[in-house]
Formats: sequence, structure tokens, C-alpha cells
Amino acid sequence: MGINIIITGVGGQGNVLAAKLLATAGLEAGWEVTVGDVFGLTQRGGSVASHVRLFKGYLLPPLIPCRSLDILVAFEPLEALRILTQFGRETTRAIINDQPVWPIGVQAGRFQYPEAQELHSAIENLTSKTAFINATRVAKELGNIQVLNMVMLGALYGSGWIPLSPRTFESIIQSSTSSQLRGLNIKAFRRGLKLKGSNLHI
Amino acid sequence: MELSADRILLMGNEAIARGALEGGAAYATGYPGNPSSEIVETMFGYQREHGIRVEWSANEIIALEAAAAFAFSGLRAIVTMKQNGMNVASDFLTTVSLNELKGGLVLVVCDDPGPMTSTNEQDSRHFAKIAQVPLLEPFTASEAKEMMRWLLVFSEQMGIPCILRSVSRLSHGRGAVKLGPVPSQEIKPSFDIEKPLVGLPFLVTPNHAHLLKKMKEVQTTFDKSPFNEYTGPNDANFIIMATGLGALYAREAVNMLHLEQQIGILKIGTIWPPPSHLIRAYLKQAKDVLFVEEIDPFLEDQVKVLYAEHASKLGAVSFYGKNTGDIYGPSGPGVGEMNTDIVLDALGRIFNKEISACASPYEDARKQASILLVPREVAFCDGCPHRASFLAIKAALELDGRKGFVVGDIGCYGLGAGPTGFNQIKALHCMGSGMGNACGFSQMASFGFNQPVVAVIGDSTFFHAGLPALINAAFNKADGLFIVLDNAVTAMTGFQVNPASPFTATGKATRPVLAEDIARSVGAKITVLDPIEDIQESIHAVYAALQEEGLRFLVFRRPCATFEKKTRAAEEILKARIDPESCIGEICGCNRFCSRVLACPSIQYDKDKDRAFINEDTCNGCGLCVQLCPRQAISLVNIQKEGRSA
Amino acid sequence: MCGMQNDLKRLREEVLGTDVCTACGTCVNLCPNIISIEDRIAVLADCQIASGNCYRYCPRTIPDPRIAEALCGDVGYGGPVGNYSNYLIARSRLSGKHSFFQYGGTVTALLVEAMRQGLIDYAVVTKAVGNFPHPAIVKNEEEIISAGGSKYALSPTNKEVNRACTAGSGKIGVVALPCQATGLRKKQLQPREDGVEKASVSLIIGLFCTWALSQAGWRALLNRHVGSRFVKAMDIPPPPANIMVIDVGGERKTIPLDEVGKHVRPGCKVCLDMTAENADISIGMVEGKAGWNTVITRTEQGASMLESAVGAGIIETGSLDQKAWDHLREASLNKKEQALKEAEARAKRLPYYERIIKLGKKIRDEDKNGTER
Ligand SMILES: Cc1cc2nc3c(=O)[nH]c(=O)nc-3n(C[C@H](O)[C@H](O)[C@H](O)COP(=O)(O)OP(=O)(O)OC[C@H]3O[C@@H](n4cnc5c(N)ncnc54)[C@H](O)[C@@H]3O)c2cc1C
Ligand code: SF4
Ligand code: SF4
Repeated sequence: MGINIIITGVGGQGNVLAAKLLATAGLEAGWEVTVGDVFGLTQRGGSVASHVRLFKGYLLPPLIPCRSLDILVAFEPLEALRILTQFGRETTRAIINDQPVWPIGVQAGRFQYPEAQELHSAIENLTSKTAFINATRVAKELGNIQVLNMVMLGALYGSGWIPLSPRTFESIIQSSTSSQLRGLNIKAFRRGLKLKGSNLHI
Repeated sequence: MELSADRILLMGNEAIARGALEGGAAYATGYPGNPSSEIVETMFGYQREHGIRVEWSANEIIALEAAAAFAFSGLRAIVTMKQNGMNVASDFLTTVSLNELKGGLVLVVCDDPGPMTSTNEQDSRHFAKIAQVPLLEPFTASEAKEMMRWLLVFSEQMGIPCILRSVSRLSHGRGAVKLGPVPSQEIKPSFDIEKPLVGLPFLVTPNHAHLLKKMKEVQTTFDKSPFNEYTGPNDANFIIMATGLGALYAREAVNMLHLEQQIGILKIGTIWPPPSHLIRAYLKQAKDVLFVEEIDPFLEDQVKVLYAEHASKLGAVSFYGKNTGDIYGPSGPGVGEMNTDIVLDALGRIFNKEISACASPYEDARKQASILLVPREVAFCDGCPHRASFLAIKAALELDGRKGFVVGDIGCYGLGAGPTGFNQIKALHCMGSGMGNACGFSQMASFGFNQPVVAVIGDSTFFHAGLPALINAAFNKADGLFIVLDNAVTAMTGFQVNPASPFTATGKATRPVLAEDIARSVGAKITVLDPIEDIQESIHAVYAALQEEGLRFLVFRRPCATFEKKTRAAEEILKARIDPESCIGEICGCNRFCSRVLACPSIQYDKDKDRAFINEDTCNGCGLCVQLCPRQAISLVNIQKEGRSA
Repeated sequence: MCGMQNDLKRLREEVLGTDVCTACGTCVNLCPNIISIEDRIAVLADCQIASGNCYRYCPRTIPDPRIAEALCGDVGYGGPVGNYSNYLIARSRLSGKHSFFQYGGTVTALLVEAMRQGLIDYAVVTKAVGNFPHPAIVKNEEEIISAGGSKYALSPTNKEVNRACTAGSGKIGVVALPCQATGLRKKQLQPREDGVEKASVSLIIGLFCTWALSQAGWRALLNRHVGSRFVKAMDIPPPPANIMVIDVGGERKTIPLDEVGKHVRPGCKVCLDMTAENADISIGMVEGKAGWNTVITRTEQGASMLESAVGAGIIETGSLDQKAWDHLREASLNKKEQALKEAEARAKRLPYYERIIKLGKKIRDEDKNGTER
């Protein structure tokens, strides 16, 4: 038994830290955990995805097999679609920050970013439940775009899709994020939690 | 495996570093390279508390040689590198293994299958065979820590350097690790001058024989090693022999296909020398053997040799592996990264089992959705000096008009081969290869070769592998233009310091080694400038250098923008801003030059408003776009000041 | 979109980067995408704009039929020396500080007068920086005077004109080689529609020109004959001298024209225009009359400018004798004939060649008939 989660986004959006904290929370809650990450070149504006697996029983590899995704947390909608086309299955649920970040090729006019309508329906076709939220706005309102990842994790906790307690997560933020951002991270996480009531239609 | 409260989540590389600490390492060094860099970085954190000496070396062979000095003197040391670095270090490795070490020496090499950040897909395990040194390969972060710890002690016991092989997915993945005790350092190092460690020819043969004898002992130890583990039915006659993460992929695939009752998995952690008694025992039990390992069929080959040697005492066995073409990813056997799906497919074919897909409407939707995907190419960061450098180089080569081109090597600036660097780099291989290639290109003039060649190299790479090429060029009177892209850090691998940095890894101020000082001493013509400050001047500088002859050395020096952002003082935060009155959008003949051609990620074009705009969250205020807008619509503002006055 | 034909692509295929381009600079500084150093012009990236000013203004592209009528030189045939209102000889009477003029100094004097009269606010001239020509925007008499003297290597004058047009407001006078004059005239006839140019060219003083050197070629000649010494002046005495004379601080170096000819820009060898037929006023040497210039007035603007300078006593004039005039027309026709032969001989077929060859039929007919001769 287990839960397969992918946190995806664009290099620099903070998925690595998000995955690390989420896995730590899983470990503290008594799960066996593994995180699959790759960094380096992809951090220069490329697609990034962290695989987080919470499980019990035999050891699992850090990579989630195709068609085995339970929960997708996407910091960017095109990246959400990219992951779903490979790892999605009928039961996959997703929380998506609906704020496109244009690939450099789109910016340079070599490619076309999909129309919002098209993108949304493609995503919905590949998920059982999808919540589109605007976490970027929340992070900006808080004054630092860097806390986007905490808003997203807040929304994940708020969804009730994972068997982990928000209270414990706050203590993990306390103990494992940089002192300058700690307070803001917790604020961001709480704002994310509350997104449930407003525009998280689950 | 029992859960316990004292387990913490560690990245594979952090776990390896922790293992080094628990194994009593006194010294850690290496050369940064994905996916290995975080090991030494983690060790920096242990430095003060545990009195370990940690440093980045100028290249991998120097790192290994320096670490060997510790081992020669009775202390334990580790050296880290990526697979390309193994080639650099191997010259020393293959000779030092012939000597008896007093302290433990472990070389950690991180391979990059299905390369995420590498220029090759090399399987470094072969070097263990070449140098005849023991090699272990872990399958979890926890085991990585344990192997590292054990190897340091074992290497010391045997007097042989040992290798720990990791892969990207393990090094950068995370898992639960139980921390062990840290031994205290008490040994006072000394070098025994009565026992010289020299590789003179007449000593090689006896030393080699001695090494091989010791490797037999190693093999005996490995036969009983807990790093090798069999799981599954005791009488299974289908056995998967797996190394590293392969063991986890195999387990997941077997269980997904509900074949647990039919298949046993022999996980092998001691790769070289192979645990031959253990393997033979399972060959005797097996009718079919499937191999699951990263990159080359290394274990596969060894097992087949063993089988051939003992065939008369073994039954018939069918082997399924990369050589036989039975296990392969989308690009074929032996290429790309291993994963559960590849094992699933292989087992599916062997056992004639359908791999479950989703219902057809879902699969159709998946196909439909794929059409919408546009690639997300990597790009130079906002404000990256390399963008300006490559723009200047491109402009100068175009102006020069003799079909000149750029050769380069490894670092962020390697992206100069892609659209973000205006597709300038035309040959890119290994550390320093551009400068070396340039030496050769310049010697073809007598055959009628007349295209100008520009070799670009980063600061760190220049010290790593460019120096010999520079000296070679000077000595052989090569007619080259070398451009050092000096951003004062090793940015690609995570902003490590290097000899061009104004401070050491521990933050102490140091005198940066200036590439041009070295070049000047060999008689090169020197130009040094900031590539962004005046882009026209940068273009002129490259152009002028192209018109000259002889050894020309141009340094584009400006700190890495992303690194600077992390460390910059806060009183001045510059952001570019586009005046929507001055920008005239599509009717301007520039054809969206700033967003389309310059393609800085911070500059975007708003179709609805028909104006370019700058994302101030990401803009680094470098000012390159300011100089290129034909309408002078872009200016730099100090937002810190704005904030204060508001 | 990227595969679509557009003007930049056409410019690159037809002119820029071929042996037709004259490095006049008309396409430079219209946008950040076309850049230049010395007499080299290059494009940084492709462009998706279907019809661009770079193509419209380049003297060597196919002109819009609506303006072709109004142009001579490489574009249309208006007789051996193009359309003109008058021809005469002239020289400067500028006095004062030491100055150097190529022949009569008429060019310099005209510019000075135009500025004094307020008819131009800036001038674009060609200065010498070291031994190399550099186009420059100048704003006062002194600077105009200091740019006197011919530099026989090409430099893209019109790129500075483009810069001047967007950098400020007002009127600009330009000293232009024939190809440059054609580019400027094309631009004048089809002004930019984006409203970004606040200044415009109001006086084109054309120089006679048989050919110009590439800067790399000039560098090679300098290296061979002059070294790093400073070139005070240079001249190409009329035939049959067959030499180029370089004055290096008192010492006269002579280089055979055969050697010089190897470094002529390929674009010059297919140039039909010797007398700057699209300028307002064209100026060259007078054979056998040192210290004077031949002047051809063409437009109202050019003629009145000359008149005003004569009135102000800056310029004195005389008449050009018939023999010299005939000789000039012959030389001009000869250049056209040479260019046609060269265009016919070139292996690569470019639209420019086709166009001048068509024009050539008319020229040769008239030449045979001896019209006006
Ligand atoms: C490349 C070249 C070829 C020429 N070929 C001939 C020829 O074959 N027959 C002939 O009769 N005359 C030719 N001339 C013109 C001649 O050399 C004189 O420039 C002209 O007679 C004007 O003389 P002046 O005394 O009035 O000039 P000055 O008063 O000395 O003024 C000279 C002006 O020429 C400009 N100038 C100098 N070099 C260049 C250049 N490379 N490009 C553009 N402008 C420049 C300067 O800005 C200055 O304003 C040529 C000139 C050039 C530059
Ligand atoms: S001839 Fe002039 S306008 Fe035409 S391409 Fe060459 S430099 Fe540009
Ligand atoms: S010969 Fe023609 S193309 Fe060459 S510089 Fe003179 S006018 Fe221009």
C-alpha cells in the first residue's frame, strides 16, 4: 500500500524543498518514504518533478512507474499536463497552480502555449478531480514568490487527500526551513490550507 | 526493515557524506559535477565540529592524489566525482592501486544514466576492473551510508583504494537513514619513509601479483557480504540478478505482476570482484536469469563468465539481459535510465503477461493531451552574463563572415549550444575539450582550413582542464582565440567556489587566481571585460580579436547572476522596467527583439496590450536589454530606493 | 511562421552576405537586429516581419515601382550622369583655421553653409580614426571641417544617418557615396511609418565614386606599404597614372592600381553609378585642374544650396569646359559598361544582376545612338 505523489513545476519554483518536507512529514507519521529528484541542468528554467512515495511493506524505488500517480501537485499547468500524460491514471487527483510560466521557446515565438481552455480540459480528462488555484497570487500577496511551494503544500493538506496532519507539518517547517523564511513559510502554508474553502473545488 | 524514531530523511549524497563521517574520514575532496557535488558540500558542514579537512580540488585527479596522501599517512579520505571525472582520475587510480595504503581511501563516483547533466552515459564500474579495486553499489540512501562507512574501514584493512558507485537517481533521491556513531579522530598521520610507494617498472609486476592476491581475499569477504541479499521463494528457478536501484525496480515490477511466488531476486551490492560463490549457488538453482542494472551489462557479463567457467557443474540456464536484448527502454538495451516500467515490460514479454493500461477513453485522452505539450528548454538565467557573451560572440562571428564557429565544453555555458546561447557552440565534449580542439583546428591552415575558431571555457573548467591546452597552444604556436567565461563560481553544479572565486569554500577571503595572469605569462594577447556592461564594446572586442593572429585570450568577467542574487547586499536591487509609452509593440521594426531574440526569461511580450513587459520578480537587473531596445524604452530602476521613498 | 518568406530573409538572400552588398549601412540601426563593424554588416537573428524597411531602403533591392520612376543610378537610367540641372566647377573659399580638403573643398564648404543657414542641424560625415574611415554625426563647423579629405575604404555612412534620425529631431545633411545616396533617397521617398524618426535627411551631397576598398583590403595595403604610420592624405590621380598615392607625413607612397584593384569591394564592381545620380548635388574632381571640384546640381535643394554658398562668398564657381564634361560622361558610361559585364559574368544569379542587365539594354542602346554625346 502507498501513495504516489508528484510535485512538478519549473526549475526555481521550489519543488525540491516541498518534496523534502512532505517526505519528512510522511516519515514522521510512520510511513516508509522515498523521494526521486534530479537537479542540475533542469534548474535552468526546465521542467522539474519530484516523486514522493509514502508506503508500507517492501521498499520502493524513487521513481513512480507510468500510470501509477495518485496525487499531482503542479506549480504550473503545462507541467501538470506533462506529468499526467506519463504518470496519470483514472484515479489521479490534482492540485494545480493555474499560472502559466512560458517556456523560453514560447517566449521566443518558436512554440505556442496551449490555450487555457484546451489545457484545462486536457488536464481534467486525465484526472478524477482537479483543483485549479492561484497560489502565485497568494505568494505575491505575502510579499515573496519563493513561498509559492508552501502555499501549494497548504492546499494539498487542505484537500484532505493525504493522511498527514497540518499541525505536524508546521513543526517541520519550523525545524527545517531557513530562519528568514520560517514565519512567512508558515503563513503561506496556512493560506494554502484555507484555499480549500474558496477556490479549491474538490 | 524496522522503523525507528532516529531515522531521518537524507538525500543519497548526504547519506554518503554521513557514511564518510561515521567511517572516520579525515579528508574529503573532489571536483563538483552533477550528480556528485552534494557529498563534499555536506562534508563542509561537518568540517568544524568533527575536525575534518574538506576542500574542492581543481580537478579529479588532483583530488584523488591529495586524498591518497592522507591514506599514505594513515588517515582515511574520500574523493567524489561524476563519471566523466573518473576518466580524469583513472590515471592515478590504476597506479596507486598497486601500492599498499595505510589509511582507507574511497572514491565515490556518481554515474548519470539517461544523462540529466552529462555529455556521456558512461558506466564507471569498468574502472574497478581496470584498476583491480573493490567496488560497491548501494540501492538505497540508507545502504549508501552504510557502504561508505564500511568501505573506509575495509579499504584500510586491505590497503586498497575502493570505489562506491552511485547514480543520479540515488544521489539526488531521498530516503530514511538511521544515523550511527561518529568515531573520534586520534591517529597522528605520518609517512613511513622506509616504505616508499613507487611505481617503478621492476616493482610493477610483483605489486600487481600482490594486488590480485588481495583481490581474492576481497572476493571471499564479498561472498559473505550482507550487501548481497536474496529475497523470494527458496526454490525459485527464475532469478533476477540486480544491482543498485535495479533491485528496487525489479521488486516493484515483480509485485505489480504478482509474480512474487515465482521469482527470486538476488540483489548484489558487491560488484567487483563479483561474489562468485554466491552467484554460482544461485546459478545452480536457476533455470532463467534476468539482469537488472544501470547502463552497461556489467554484472551480466561477469555472471556469464562465471557460468562458462563452471558450466559442467551447472544446469542449463537461459539468460535475459541487455546483451540478449531482453531488457530495454525506449532507446534500446544498455541506453537510458532503468526504471520499473522497463522491468515490467521485460517480465511481461518473458511471462507473456499483459501490462495493464488504463481504459481506452483515458488512453485516448492521454494521446490527445500529448499534442498540446510544448518543450520546456533550459535557458540561461535572468541576467546571466553568458547570454551577453554568446550574443557578442555570435555578432562578431557573423560580422567576420568567414564561417567561424565556437567550440566549448562543460558548464552552464554549454547551453551556448542551444537556443539560449544562439546555438553558437558547435563541438562540445568533455572538460577542456574546446581549447584542445581549437589547438588542432589552428594547425590545419596549411591544408587550407580557414574558418576562425573560438574556444569558450568557464573559469572553473579553465583551471580544471584548460591550462594544459593553453600551454600547448603557446608552445605549438597555435593560432587560437580562447574566451574564458569567468563568472567566479562553478555555477552549473550548484555554485561551488573555484580558484577564480574571491573566497574559499569556507568563506575565507582569498586572492582569486586570474586566468589572464596565467595566459599573459605564456605570451597571449589579453583582453578583459564585463560582457554586459557595454555590449557593443564586447562585440567589438571579439571582432577585433578575430582579426588578429596568434594566441589571443579574452576574458569575459562578470559574476554569475543567480549566485550574485543569493549573496548581493540589499541596498541596491536593480530591475529593468519597460515604459509602455515608449515601447510601441508590433509596429516597431525590432520584431520583439527583447523577448524573442534576446530571450531573457524575465522579458515577455503581452499580446493583448501589444507591449513587452518585464517580470520584476525574476529580473536580475543586468541591463543588457536596456542597451538593445531601439526605442530606449527600457531603463533600470533601483526598487530598494523606490521602496524606501514610498 | 519561421519558414515564411520575409524581407530580412530576402535581403539576406539577395544582397546582404552576397557580392552585391555595398556596406552602405542603410539597413543598419533601423532595428537592433542588423549590426555592423567597419564595412561588415551582419544579422543577429531571423525576423518575422513580412515587409521591412531594411529591404525597402537597401539600394540594391528591387525598388517599389511607385518610387522607381524617381530614381537613377543603379535603379533607373537618366542619361550617362543621371538627371541634372547644371554642371560647373567650384572651390571653397573657407578661410581660417588650417583645414585639409581633398580637391576644392566644395563638399565641406557646402555643409558649413547649410549649417550656418540653419538648413541642417547635423551632418553625417566620414572621419578618419587612425587610418580608417568612420561615419560620424557632427554638429558644428569645426567637426565638419576636420572630416575633410577622402578615405578610399568604405564605411557604412547611412547607419549613422539612421541613428541621427531617431536620436534627435531636426534636419540632417549627409556626404554620401553614390550607393549611399541611393539608399538615402529611397528612404526619403518611403519614410518610416512607425513614427519613431523625428529627424530627417534634407540634403544629400553625393561624391563621385568609381570604386571603394574593403576595409580588410585597405588594412592589407597599409600593412604592405605603410605599416603603422599615419596616413595624411590619399589620392587617385586621373588616368593614365594608374596609381594610388598615399601621403604619409611628407613621404609619398605609390601603389599600382592593379594591386589596389584586388581589394575593391565586390559590390562596387557591379555599381552603375559614378556620379551619385540620386544626390541633391554631386561633387568630384576636375581632370587637369587641381584644387577645383566638378559639381553637378540635380535638385532644387542642391542648386539653391550652392547658390546660397556662392552668395555668402564661401564658394567660388567657374564653368566646366565641354571636353572635361564629355570626358566625365564617357567615364560614367564606362563604369556602367564595366558593371554590366561583371554582372553578366558572375555565376550566381541574383535579382540585382537581372535588374541592372535589363537596365543595361537601355544604356547600351543610348550609348550606341550617341544620344547627348
Ligand atoms: C571612396 C571614394 C571614391 C571616390 N572616387 C572618385 C572618383 O573616382 N572620381 C572623382 O572625381 N571623385 C571621387 N571621389 C570623390 C573625391 O575624392 C572627393 O571626395 C570629392 O571630389 C570632394 O572633394 P572636396 O575637396 O570637396 O572634399 P572635402 O571637402 O575634403 O570633403 C570630403 C568629404 O568626403 C567625405 N568622405 C571621405 N571619405 C568618405 C568615404 N569613404 N565615404 C563617404 N564619405 C567620405 C568626408 O566626410 C568629407 O565630408 C571619391 C571619394 C571617395 C570617398
Ligand atoms: S547594400 Fe546597404 S542596405 Fe543593402 S544590404 Fe548592404 S549595407 Fe544593407
Ligand atoms: S562604387 Fe558604387 S557601390 Fe562602391 S562605394 Fe562607390 S558608389 Fe558604392
